[in-house]
Amino acid sequence: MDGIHDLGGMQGFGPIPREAEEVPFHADWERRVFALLLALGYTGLFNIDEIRHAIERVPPAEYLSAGYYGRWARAIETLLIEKGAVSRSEFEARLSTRGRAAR
Amino acid sequence: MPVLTQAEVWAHCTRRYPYQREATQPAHFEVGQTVRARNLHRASHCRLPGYAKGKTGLIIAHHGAFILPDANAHGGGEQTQHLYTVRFEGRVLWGEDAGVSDPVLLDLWEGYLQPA
Repeated sequence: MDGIHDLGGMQGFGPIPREAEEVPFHADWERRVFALLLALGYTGLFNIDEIRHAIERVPPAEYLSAGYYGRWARAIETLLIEKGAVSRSEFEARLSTRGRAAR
Repeated sequence: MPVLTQAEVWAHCTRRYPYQREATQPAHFEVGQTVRARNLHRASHCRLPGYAKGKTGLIIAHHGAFILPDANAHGGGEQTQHLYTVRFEGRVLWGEDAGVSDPVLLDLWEGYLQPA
C-alpha cells in the first residue's frame, strides 16, 4: 500500500528527538494500549500482519499526529470493528461515556 | 472473549511466534545475485518500501521460506515465499550526493524481486 506509513526518504520532518533516558511509555494510556494489543493478539482475533495493515490505513493526517501508540489504538479500533468483536455504534457509545481524550 | 490468567500472560509475552516455514518451492534467487525490486503499487499490504521500487540491489543472504505478509494481512493464509536480504547502495537509492558507505539492507520476499 502506497500510504503515509511508507515515508522512508521523505524530507522535512526535522531532527529526530533524542532522549537522555529512553522510557518505553510517555503516558499511562500508552501502557494500556500496549497491553490491550498483546491481550487481543493472544485471543487470535487478528495476526501481526493484519495489525500492520490496520496501522497503514490510519488516515494520513492522523497517522502523522497520533504518535506510535496512538496509531496502535486506532488500529485496535479498526480491527475490533472489522472482525466483529464490537460494532461501530457500541464502540462510539463507550467512547462517549469514557471520553475520547482517554484514549 | 476469553479471560487471561497471569500465567497465560507471561507465557504469551515470552513465547516466540516464528514466521519461518519449511520451504515447499525451490528458491529462484541466490546469494551474490543482482536483482531488481518490482515496481509494485498495490492497495493491499506490502512490505516493499517505496524508495526501493525499481532499484537494483545485491542479495547478501537467503533466509528460507517465510509467511508472506501480503497474504496473511488479508486472510489469505501463509502462502510462504523465500525471503532474502538485499543490499541497495546509497547512491542507487538517494542519488549521487549520497554517501558511498550508506547502503540500506532490506529483507524482501521473493515476489518483490525480479532478475536484474
